[in-house]
Amino acid sequence: MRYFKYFSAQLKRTLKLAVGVFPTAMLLFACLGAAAWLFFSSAWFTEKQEKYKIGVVGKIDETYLGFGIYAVQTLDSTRFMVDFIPMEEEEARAAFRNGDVIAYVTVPDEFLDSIIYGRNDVPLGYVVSEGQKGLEGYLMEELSVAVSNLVTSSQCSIYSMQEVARRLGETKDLRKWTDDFNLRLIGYVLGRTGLAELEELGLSKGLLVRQYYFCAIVLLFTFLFGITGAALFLGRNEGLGKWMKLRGIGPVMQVLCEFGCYYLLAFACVAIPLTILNLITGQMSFLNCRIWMDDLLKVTAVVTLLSSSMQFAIYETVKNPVANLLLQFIGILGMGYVSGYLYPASFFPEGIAHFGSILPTGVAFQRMSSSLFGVEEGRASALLLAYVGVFLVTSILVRKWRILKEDR
Amino acid sequence: MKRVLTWFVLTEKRLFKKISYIVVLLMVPVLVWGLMRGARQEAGMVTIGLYADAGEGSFSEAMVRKLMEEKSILKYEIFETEEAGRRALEESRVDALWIFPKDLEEELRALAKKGRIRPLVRVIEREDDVALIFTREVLCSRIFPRFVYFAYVDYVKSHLGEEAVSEEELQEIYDGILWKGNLFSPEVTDQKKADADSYVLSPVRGLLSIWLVLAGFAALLYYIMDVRKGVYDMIPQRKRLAYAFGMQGVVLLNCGIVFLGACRILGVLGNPVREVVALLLFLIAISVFCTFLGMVLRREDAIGVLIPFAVLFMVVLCPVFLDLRQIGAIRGIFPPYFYLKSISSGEYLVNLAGYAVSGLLLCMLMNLRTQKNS
Repeated sequence: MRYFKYFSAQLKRTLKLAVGVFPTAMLLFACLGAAAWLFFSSAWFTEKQEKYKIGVVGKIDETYLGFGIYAVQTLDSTRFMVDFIPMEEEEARAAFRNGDVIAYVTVPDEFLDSIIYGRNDVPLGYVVSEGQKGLEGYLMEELSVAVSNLVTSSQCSIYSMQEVARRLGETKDLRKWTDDFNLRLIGYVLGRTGLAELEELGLSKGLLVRQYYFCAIVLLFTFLFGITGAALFLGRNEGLGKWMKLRGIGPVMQVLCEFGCYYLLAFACVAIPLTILNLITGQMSFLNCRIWMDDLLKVTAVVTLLSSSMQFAIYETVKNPVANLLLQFIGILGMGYVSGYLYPASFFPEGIAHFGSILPTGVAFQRMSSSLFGVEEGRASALLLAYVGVFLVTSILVRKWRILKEDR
Repeated sequence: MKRVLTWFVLTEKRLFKKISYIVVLLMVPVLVWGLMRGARQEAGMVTIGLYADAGEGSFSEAMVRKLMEEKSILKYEIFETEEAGRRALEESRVDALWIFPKDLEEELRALAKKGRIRPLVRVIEREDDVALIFTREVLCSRIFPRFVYFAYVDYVKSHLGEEAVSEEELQEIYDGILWKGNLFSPEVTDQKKADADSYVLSPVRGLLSIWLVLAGFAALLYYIMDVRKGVYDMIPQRKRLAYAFGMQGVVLLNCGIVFLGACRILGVLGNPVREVVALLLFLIAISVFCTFLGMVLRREDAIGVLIPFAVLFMVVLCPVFLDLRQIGAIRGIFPPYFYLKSISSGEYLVNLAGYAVSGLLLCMLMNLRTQKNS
């Protein structure tokens, strides 16, 4: 009976917090949905729906470069992927900042001369990001190497042919040959992708990008939401544990009752917005599959059990609010990062990816993706329960130690 | 001044008395170091399986070896047999399989002679997508130079005579002219910036800047708890704002030093003066941002609810992973947005200073209003 009374008292405390938490959570969840929508609809995440727009700054009219861009726009295989838009520098900068173009290329006046005379000492500049180099920067770098290879090898072939002709003294028809060879090479460049033959197995690649990031965002939200517990656990009277023990409620029951209430709050805060989302989107049809409500609630119950037990253990162990919040952040975003919540896990080196998969965040991801999208889960369920056990035992031991410390 | 210094030292002492605080601060550089060690291993955004149906010394085998040696965002894995590669593809261990024919060089020569292109390398994928179209561009750009070399040899022989120049001489001329640099160069706005070694490490600075904002929130909660406990009861309302900023200052200064240390380990620090100025402005902007929210929300539970969302919004809206420029000015609400852009742009550094100063004025006005109301 006294355990029930303690549980009810904790529940009341939690509900008092929940009154403030719920409306804010719903409002912010809606904002998060809007942010996620923007994220998915950004040029880098759309799949085959939108062409990437690239601004071109510089004098390209009536030049070979202008012809080249025209050819790429109309004949090349990349015409399905990229749109080149001629612009003035200021216009390009503004379009870049507004997100109207994903990058812009600047063509210096001396660029064509440097190519024509084979000096190649005036590079084309490109702007793909401001500040630190992001994912776009690395992709652009790779693409620039590919384009550079095509241009310089073609250019080298022409100059080599001219050099041979000059050495042999055969310069009479050199201009005609150069034009002829140039046209051949342009044809080859445009047809280059024909060197590879594509065979599609027609197998699904596992999770779609949307499904992957749905799991990642929901889990990130689930783990981060535990930070709301700060108001429940931090700044509490340390003598309460000892006092409750004197009233016959030991550390084990104290922890289980408090954790139970915290878990219920965490579960409700994640499950309610997800349920509403599932109802208004026709069983998450935007994920190209249907998610049944009971599957969604079951998996939410399991992953919130893990997240709340982990955070409860952190609140129990680190009482200083500053250290606690900083640790929560490192714990959640750091672990989430290596577990593939922000970059797909396949982007990481094998060692980091494996490490990320056995962390609580990685285990939760595997559990969620297997429950909702049928991906193989491996040992995720067993590891998940083991983590919950470890976190709860740690919390109980720490509480016991604190009570003993108070006794001394 | 002496009183301020004493308060500063006492607050530091109060924080550093907790072992957990020291441990958490030390964890950041250690974790960054660990991540750097881990990131040294081979990684790629897309993994490509390679199989060359040819013996050692062949062009296909050399091509496979060259791809393996390239520093790229694509990760390559060699397979001994086509079946092993296909199995890896079916099990999603690789995203695509490139199969090079036995006599790729001879086939390229024959194609160049005929003057037409036909498929030579087989690319097997589970399902095609934009990323894999991109990888095929990479593949073709690596084979193409050999193809155009043969096109040149053929052109010379057909126009200047079969025996006019030996094959060795043709190769020598070609190698002498071939330029191996990159025709493109990324433009920096106004200062040379130091980028992370790999895309795995590139968001770490951004994530750490969000960690600093969280430190600001933590300091705010600490201050509110102190107010609740009555620590500042003797301080008049008009001076409270200074103490709120003071608490932010102490925590953020400690975390700022750790931040700089972590960036140093990461190797992303540019001009030291610029870095320190940008960081100081950033710390002021954070304390203004957090204090303002504290003045509006006032309660720990409301701030507690806000933190996870603020973190998520910052991860998505600030240029940590992607720069979602189409979202527009709303991103400027969060201090890391200006800070991360100010690393290489003086314009954004000025914006960051403007953010800090206008925020400070706003907080002072709010404080005046609170005084009047109370």
